[in-house]
Order: sequence, then C-alpha cells, then structure tokens
Amino acid sequence: MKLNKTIFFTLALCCTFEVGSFEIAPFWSDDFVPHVKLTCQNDEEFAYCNQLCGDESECLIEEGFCRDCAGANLALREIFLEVGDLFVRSIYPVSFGAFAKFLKQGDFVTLTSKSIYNFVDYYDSEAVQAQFQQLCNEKDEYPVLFLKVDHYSRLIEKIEYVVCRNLYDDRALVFNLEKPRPFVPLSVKYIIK
Amino acid sequence: MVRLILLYFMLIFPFHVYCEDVNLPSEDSKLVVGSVNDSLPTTETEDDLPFRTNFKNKTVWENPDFESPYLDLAPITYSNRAGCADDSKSATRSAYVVIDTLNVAKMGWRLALDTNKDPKYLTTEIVHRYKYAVLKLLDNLAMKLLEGKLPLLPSDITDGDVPKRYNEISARCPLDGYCKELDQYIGEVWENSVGKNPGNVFKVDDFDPANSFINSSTVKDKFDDVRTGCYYLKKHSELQGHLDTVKKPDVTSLKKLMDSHVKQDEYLAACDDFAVQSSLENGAFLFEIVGVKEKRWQKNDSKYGFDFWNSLKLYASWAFRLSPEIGAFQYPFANVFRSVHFEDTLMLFSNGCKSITKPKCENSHLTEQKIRDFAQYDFDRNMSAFDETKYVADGVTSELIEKPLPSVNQDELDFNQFPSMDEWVKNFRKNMVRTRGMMKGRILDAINTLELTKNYLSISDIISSLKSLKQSVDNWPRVAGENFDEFHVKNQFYYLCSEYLIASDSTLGVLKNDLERVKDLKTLAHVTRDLTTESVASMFDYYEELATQVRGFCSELEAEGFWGSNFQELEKSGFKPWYTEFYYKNSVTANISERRGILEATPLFVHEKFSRTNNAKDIICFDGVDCSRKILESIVNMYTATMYAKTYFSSQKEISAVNMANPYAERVACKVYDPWWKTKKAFFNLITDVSMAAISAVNPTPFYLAADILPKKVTSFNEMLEDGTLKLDPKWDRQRLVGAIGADFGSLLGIPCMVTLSNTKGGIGHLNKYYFAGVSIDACVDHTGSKVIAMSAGDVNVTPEKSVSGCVSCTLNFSNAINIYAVISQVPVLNSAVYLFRGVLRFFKALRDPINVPRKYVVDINSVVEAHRKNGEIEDDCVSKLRSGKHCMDYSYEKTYADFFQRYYKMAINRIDKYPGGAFIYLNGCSEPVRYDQGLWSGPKEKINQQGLIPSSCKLEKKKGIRSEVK
Repeated sequence: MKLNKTIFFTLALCCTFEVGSFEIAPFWSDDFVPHVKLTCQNDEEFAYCNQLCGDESECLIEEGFCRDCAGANLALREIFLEVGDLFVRSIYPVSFGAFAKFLKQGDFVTLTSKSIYNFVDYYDSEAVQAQFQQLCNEKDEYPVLFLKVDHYSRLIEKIEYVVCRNLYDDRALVFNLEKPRPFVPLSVKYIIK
Repeated sequence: MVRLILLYFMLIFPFHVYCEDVNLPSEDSKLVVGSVNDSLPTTETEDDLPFRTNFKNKTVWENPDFESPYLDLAPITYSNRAGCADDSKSATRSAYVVIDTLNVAKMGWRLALDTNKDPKYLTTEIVHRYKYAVLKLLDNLAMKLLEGKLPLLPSDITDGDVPKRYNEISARCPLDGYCKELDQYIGEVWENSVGKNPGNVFKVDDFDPANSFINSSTVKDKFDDVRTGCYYLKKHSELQGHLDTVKKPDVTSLKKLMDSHVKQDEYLAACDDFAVQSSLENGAFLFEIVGVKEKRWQKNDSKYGFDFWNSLKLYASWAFRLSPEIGAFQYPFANVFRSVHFEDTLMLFSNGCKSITKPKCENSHLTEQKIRDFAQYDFDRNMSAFDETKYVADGVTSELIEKPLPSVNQDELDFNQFPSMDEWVKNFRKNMVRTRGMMKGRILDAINTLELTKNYLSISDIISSLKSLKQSVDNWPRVAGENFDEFHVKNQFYYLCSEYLIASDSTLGVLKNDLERVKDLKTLAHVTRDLTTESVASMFDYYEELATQVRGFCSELEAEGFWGSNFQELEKSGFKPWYTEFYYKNSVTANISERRGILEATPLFVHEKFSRTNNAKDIICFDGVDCSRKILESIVNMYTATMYAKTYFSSQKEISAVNMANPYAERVACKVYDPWWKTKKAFFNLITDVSMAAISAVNPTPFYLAADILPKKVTSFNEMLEDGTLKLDPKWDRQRLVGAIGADFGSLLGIPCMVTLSNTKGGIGHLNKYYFAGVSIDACVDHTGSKVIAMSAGDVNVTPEKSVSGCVSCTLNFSNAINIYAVISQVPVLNSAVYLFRGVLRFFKALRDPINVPRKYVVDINSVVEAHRKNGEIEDDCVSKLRSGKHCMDYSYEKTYADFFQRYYKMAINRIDKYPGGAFIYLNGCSEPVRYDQGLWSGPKEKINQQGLIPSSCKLEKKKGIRSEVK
C-alpha cells in the first residue's frame, strides 16, 4: 500500500490509539481519501499486521465512503447527540483478531467528535466531545467509533466498536458497544405518610 | 335563411379571438431550405442568377446593430388556469435545479481543519466542485439518454411496455428507501451500454430497441441539434415571467421580455461561471432540453418526456456515487462527495406548468408537492397554518377539497420577494430544514420511547402503576408529596382518559383510523430503519394493546364516579400539545415544560444510568399515567411524519422532483379540477341549443326545453392501502343534468311574458330570460320560499342545490318581438334562427372565459429580439405571431434564414438579397455576404462548413450569448 509522505504530517495532527500496543489512527489523506493506519511494534503484533495487509509493521486501510452520512442522517444525528447516553462499552475488550478481521473486510467507517460528518454541532464541539468521552474515560479525548456499513450500499448498519485509551497503562483497547437495558427500578411504591 | 342569419352573426362576432387563442406553434412551421421557392414564385431561372440587379426581394433589417446575444433557451409557455392545469399532464423540457451546498460547505471546512489546509479556500473549492459535478452529471446523463446510448427506465411500471427485469425489481423496491437490487441493476445497464462492455445492454433486460431508447434524429428539431442548456439564475426576471402572469402576452409584456433578454447578464450566467456565484450555501440553475420537437417529446402521453426525467433521476443517484466516469467530474473530492446524501442536496422542479413526474392521485405524490409551501416568503409567520406542521394533520386531501381553485402563475413561489435567486433558495431551504428538524426531533423521541417501552416495559407494569395511583387517591389524605393534591391527581387521570378516548376509542375516537396509518404506511420506513431494528408495526401493536387496557381502566373510573361532582375546573394547559391543537384548536397552550410524576416516588421507567446519576434527564417516564400518555404522544408524533414523509424526507434512491409552480397538477390528477370542463359544457350547450332550434323549426309551439350540465364536485376520497402507500380515489356528487321547461305566453296572449320550471334552484339562466334581453323583470320562487334569484354565467365551481324553481319573466326585447312575430306569422324558421343565434352567441361567450378555458401562448424569446431587430420595434402586427411561438417576418424565406443562421449559427442577419432558389445573406461579423443556395445548403452543418460556403471572414458562433453548456 502506497503511503503518501504527507500522511505522516496529517497523522501528527490526529489522535492515535493502541490496541494492545497497536497504534490506530483514522485520518484523511492529502488527496482527500479517508484512511485508518495501524502500526505494529512487536512479534505478536507483526502477525496481526501481516494478516491484515501483508506488511508486518504498518497497515493503511482505506475507509471507503459512508453513504448518506453527509446530510440529514437521523442515525448519525442520534450518535452525535446521544451516543454516550444510548450506548455503553462492553466490560471486556474484544480480541485483536476479531477487530483485525473486521478491519480487513473494509466495511466500516470511523467517527470521532472531529468527524466531517458531524452536522449537529460545530466541529469538535464540547457537547459532542462530551458524548463521545462518556464511552471511555476522562483521559481519552477522542474515542473512535467504528461503524459497520453494508458492503455494497455503504449504508450504516450498526455501531460496532469503540477504541478507548486504557486508563492505567495508556494503551488503547477496543470494546464492543451495546445499548443498555433500561429498567423498572423497583416495584411501584409510593411514599405514604 | 338560417345560413344568412348565421353569416350575419358570424360577421358581427369576433370568431378570430378564439381561433387565435388556441393557436399553438405548428411543428412544421420551420421551413426547410427547399421551401424558399414556394414563397417567392418567379419566372427567372437559376442560370440567370445571381445578379444583384435581378434580386426579387431585398429585405433590410431595420435595427441590425441591436445587440442582444442569442440565448439558448427553450420557448416560454404562458398559460391561464385551465391551460396550466392541462399542461400538468405533459412532460416539461425545462427545470429548475436547486442545489443545497450548505452541508458540503460544512464538510469542506472540517476537512480543511483535518488536513491542515486553508478552510476558506478549501470550502470554496469544494462547493464549486460539487455544483460543477452535479450539473455535469445531469448534462452527461441527459445527453446519453437523448442520444439513445442509455436505455430509458420507464416511470410507470403499470404501463405494459416495461422491460421485464426492471419491472420486477421496481415492484420489489421499498418506496423511498435505498434499493440495492435497483442499484445493482443500473450498474449492469451502465456497464453494458456506456461502460466497459458496450453493446450488450439487451442481455441485461428485454429492452425494446424502438421504445426503450430516444432516437435523437427523430426527436430533434429541424436545423437544430438535441442538446442541454444550463444557466445559473442570478435573479428572477421576465425570462421566467410565465410564472408571474396568466395574461395573454401583449406588446408591453413582449417588450419587457426583450428588455430582460438585453439585460441577460443581470439575470443569467453560465452554469460553471463560479466567479459570479457568491453563495456557498446554495445555487439555482435552469436546466433545459433544447432542440427537441415538442410534439415528439409529448408523443404517447408524454411517455418519452416522463421516462427521460425518471431515468435521469435514477441514473443520477447511481452514477454520482459509483460511476468512475462521473467520478472524474468530482476530482479531487470524489471520496468526499460519495458520502453526501446526494438526493437531499438536489431538487428539480418544473419551470412552468408542465411536469417532471407524471402527477398521480397518491398520498406520497401529493405530499411531495407540499414542498412548495416552503417557498413562501412569510412561511415562519404562517407556519402553524400549514397542515404538514401540525401534530395531527388533516391530510393532504382536505386541502384539495377545501381549496379546489388556488391561484396559479401569479408568483406563488414568491420569487419577486427576494433580491436574488440565491436568497430565494436560502429562504426555501431554511424553511424546509428548520421544519424538518422539528419533525426529526419528534420522530427521534417517538422511536426512542416506543422502542424502549415496547421492549422493556410491560403493559401490566403500566396498568399496575395506574391502579396503584388510583388507590393512593382513594386513600387520601394519607397520601402526600410535593405538589401533590387531590385535584392534581384527578386532572392527570382526566388528561389520560381524554387523550386515549379521542385517539383510540373505536366509537368516539375520531383519530383511531388516522393513527392506524402509522402502522400501515411504509412511507417512513427508510427513516426509521436508521433508528431501530423494531418495525413500526410491532410498536404500534404494543400501543394498541395498551390503549385497550387504558380505556378499560378509564371506563372503571367513570363508572365509579372517580372525578365526582366537586371536581375542580380542569387545568386545560396540562393536556399534551397534540391534544390542545386537535381538540382546542390551539385556543389553549399546552404547558410542555411540566415533567414530573403525580407523586414523589421512585420513577416507573428509567435509563440504566439513573441509578448512578439520579438525574431527571435519565427518567423515561414517571408513572403509569406519564408512560401511557408518552406512548400515545409518540404514536401521534409519528402520524404527521408518516403522512407527510415525502414532504420532509428525501428519497434514498432518486432525486425529488416537484411541480412547484403548478398546484393544479394534483388537482387534475385527483379529478378535483377538469381543465376541459368549461369547454365541454360550452359544446353541450351548443348541441342542446341547436337541437332546440331544430325542434322549433318543425314543431312551432310556445313551449321550450333547455338542458344544462353542472360540474361534478369531489366531496371526499376513498383511501386504499396498496404496498404500504395510500392511493386515493375521488368520490364526488354526480354530474347533474338540469333541465327547464318554459312557456312563452307572449305568443298566446300577446304579452311578452314567459314562465319556466326547472329542477334546480334558479332554473337555467338563459331560459329565465332571453340571453340578449333588453329591459326585463324577473321573479322566481323555489321550494325555500319567494325570492328574486340573480343568475350569473356561473363558474365551474358553482354547485346549485337540488330544488325546484319557477320563474315568471316579462321582457321587452328584440328576441321576444321576433319570437311573437314568428309564432304568429307561422314562420318557424325564423324562430329557429333566433335559437340558433342565441346558442352560437352563448357558445362563443363561454369560450371567451379567460380562466376556465385552456389558453396557452408560446413565445420564443429569441424571435422577440429578432422581430425588434427586423422591424425596429415590436409592432402590434407581430404580437399574435410571436405569442404563437413563430417569427415575425414578412416572407417565409426570412424565417428560413433566420432559423438557419440566427439559431443554428447564432449569427445576426443584417440584410437578405433574395433570388429564386437562394439568397445573399449579410451577417454581423462577416465582411462579405454568405451565399445561401438551396441546392447546396442541405445536410448537416459540418458538411456545409466543409463546402466552404461560409466565407472565412465569418466567425461562426461568435455572437452566441451566455454559454449554456457546462464545460
């Protein structure tokens, strides 16, 4: 995969994450194509990168387009406004293998609070940032959502993963996202004096 | 004798008015080169020519230096109400293209920040490129269709002649949702017709070589090429003046049109002239098909035309994202643009009364037309009056019935209220986006509430909560809490029961059937699909089950006298907004800020994090009353969005196309208005009058018979659910035949009085007294009592009541005198002549109706300028020719040369020296004359050029106006 020199400059501006010690960075290249960059650093990781793109140390994956994401998209509106309220991350991180397989299929798009598809508020607004940050922890400024899209139509199907920075060792981890069950907290009781 | 009388009246009355008014331009009016001789008979032979001294005719242009460059615009059609209504059944060749680039601009700004580029520069670049890519896409696709390279995708799949596979796929596709099968099919068609594998399109589907392709050589106009025209619209002007007037064009209006032509730079620019397109938010363009013979475009009920636009819309959605060829127009932003909701950024609407999509009497088609409301200058102020913004919409058909005759072609779209078209589009999109945002908010809340309650809150929990609350009131005053009192609780139950009664009771609930549309219609499916995996139908089932139990609970309360006789006056503002709007017609304002339960207690249903936050924001609903009312409110909120889905939510598979300027499109489709009714009625009356004349000729009696027809009036619509859409079938009071019998006592008694009896109130006007009566006295009675009834000629919407009336009419006038004389003198033929005269008079008077008899005037704007150049001014004599779409020239050869040089080559003629079989033509921009010889000048332009007949000093197309193609 050919890497444009300017990509590195762009990468420096973007948020980066590690899965294990993977480095994951979504970015727009200089020729206006969305990418995700993965960097592998040790033997275990080399295997994942190799499996993903045939290169041991680094993979550049083209994101593909996100049909109808720039416009009046109710699903995205809900995500940007309420993602932290409607979703919680799984307790345990997913396996690197499952995530690598997901990336290899290429049927995904990424979202952060800086996304160009954010039409509900201004770029990187505090409100949207706060929604995203609810998914991870206070140290993580820019959690990255991975949304699954249909292979042919590129329409969003579901929110699949969130990549968060680990609070303790500053490494990035990938989690599933799920809608928590609301509940009837107690049997209906009223305060009777 | 009859003939003589007829001849006499025909001389008196202006028949020419009617002949002229219905004159449309003849398709054969453009003469071919070979017709020159026909117009100029001569005895000279070609061998003698050309000698200047032998010229038979020299035509000098009076104002050859008058500069107004040729505009490659399709002819403009002016029409009155009936004409406009009638035109809705035809396919347009001229459309407005409105491009909203606000989201593209926002995206460009963010992209610049992401890629460390200058945001202002990149945003401007990306917006200009987007507009260019869209226009180039339309141009490219249109030409592929017009040249027969891409097959047509029929707009009406119920028509028999539809490719089989396309038919099957279209039938399976969701209404407005994305259709993968269709996308893949279009991809195959493209690949095998204009893509990598051309010539194999017949393997993809059973396309008919004759009907599935436009044959450009068949549809094209003589001396012309089929092409597209595209202009950026700076400001509304007389060039679109047909949207502002229903009047017949006269000298004044033609001069105004010419002035706009002269000042074309103020109103138009080339589509890709981005230097003048200052707005980064939007743009309005005029997109036209030029050089097509109108008659052929409209052949077979405009099948070519409608199929063309349908194909353009479908191919555009596919090609914008997936065609590499089209992707080249988007460079370097192809990957960015493919993520844009393309269909939401673009709208086509017809420039005039004709249509892009054939109007259908279906809810989805009708609601799509409501988009025109957003064009109103004062939309904000009148928003609550628009049905589509209500919580509980009356439905689009109610407007058709209540307002069958709206105004048309009087600037209904408020173009003249704005200083520029950019401003107009900005207002239009602002109104649309803001209202849509409100609707989106309602849908989001509704879906969230319904999905959560349906999945996680059982109906038994809700009913238990209701019963517990009730019990707490029974135990009063032992129950207490902040803001809690007996009346507050009773009010809450009252709200609950009233709202459910209105919405869901099978006998008293006026809304029950309407709300069931939420379940039945699939119009909103493509929107809700993004929000939930639950089907709307399953959520509605949940609501219905709850409603049954809530109503049962309320019945018990009522039966046991829960509210009692001392129930304090109800605080009406506690009702939900939908209820105050529906029941109190907004005379009460709902207090929507109230968000608390009846009692201070643990809320009934909360988000998971409530246990951590204890925040009211995380409460879904407080108690049984609150939950039930929210569930009902959610269903109601879904209702208007479902009914008006087409108004608010763009399709995912095709660009929307609206008949913005013609509110009669849907009225004609739904048979609320018949543009030809008045004409048919005039003919009916003529036949009855002629028949009466014939009867009286053979059987002279003092008794007369007359008949008339009264218009059908649509009173309601049958609604039929078909494939998740609502089809509408008008129901009307039947067309009534009314009759009258009259006896003229003048012939018997010698006094000029007559008596009539009719089966309708007021009788039939012309039998109550003679049509051309002089001094008359009338007195009529009907079954409701005695009164004098004044009858008018009557508009089409007049519907007399069913009744019987009688009239006595004493008239001193010419006709009566003749009538009396005729009977007395036993000359029946004279009596018949009077009837005949009256009938003919009435017939032509009816046809002169300026509103309800279709009138259309076609003006070719370049011909207006040409007439001015030729004659030095727009003369009265020219007007009738010009408004028939013709040239205003003295000789037919002038028209031929004008067509050839001024239209084809965009050259201005100064002078013509005519000789038999040809002419020397002096053109602006040529230092020597061009010899036009009919023997040589035939065939395509290229051939003519090759023959060297045009002097090298002539720079062809030098005088062309604003560039109309996207380069």
